[in-house]
Amino acid sequence: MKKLKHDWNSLADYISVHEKTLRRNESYMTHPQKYVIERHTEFWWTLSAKNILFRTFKGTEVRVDIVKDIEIDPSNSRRPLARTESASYSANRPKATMPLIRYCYPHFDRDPSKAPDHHRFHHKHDFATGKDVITKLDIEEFPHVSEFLLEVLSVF
Amino acid sequence: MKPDKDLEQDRQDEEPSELLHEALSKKPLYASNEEALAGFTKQLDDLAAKMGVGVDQLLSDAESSGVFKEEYIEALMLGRRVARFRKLAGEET
Repeated sequence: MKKLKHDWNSLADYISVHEKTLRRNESYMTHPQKYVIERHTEFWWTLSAKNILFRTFKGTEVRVDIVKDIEIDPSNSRRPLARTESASYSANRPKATMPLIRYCYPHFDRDPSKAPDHHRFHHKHDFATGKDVITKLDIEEFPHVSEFLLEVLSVF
Repeated sequence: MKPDKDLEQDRQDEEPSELLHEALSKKPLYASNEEALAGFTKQLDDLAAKMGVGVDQLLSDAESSGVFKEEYIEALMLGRRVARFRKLAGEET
């Protein structure tokens, strides 16, 4: 059976691959940045790396913020599992007021009937044209952090 | 730079990293979903008050105003947490 892109993984692998991804892109950072883990409860954590300043392949400075909310399954204490429950990756021009792009998991609005349609889907905001162009994404189209960083480094 | 798009799909069991060890050595911030909901709701309320707008307006601005502010990153993160823990705490079905 085909493995889903954002499926359960061991917690150790989940954290490790994220750390590796950031390390592999460290040479493009103006200041090396590391992930931070917050354990909200036993079952819900956040992995985040905020305010990472990259110099892209084109020499542009771009600020990146990565926040991943993680569901933990500790039922096997020797091999707890983790999967992304929600995430947001954003790229912004530092010191500018206009964002560039942001990827979001679905939003869980208190009153979904009043929420924009795209909130129900994984989606991408692209502000590069000066307008908020929203593209709905299938979960399999939602990028890994490594894919997002490659996009940021290549496009801007 | 070579694309490393497959990196996050690695499925080999790794040894826990220092970051993970450190996280596991600490107690969770909240003992229950209800406590977490109360904590994050207060943080979001405080941020909205600091910005001089209501929570709904803050989340709407942060989502798609086309303006970047440091506080909007925080607001989106807190908004997601409040929504998640509201659901987990059973306030919504």
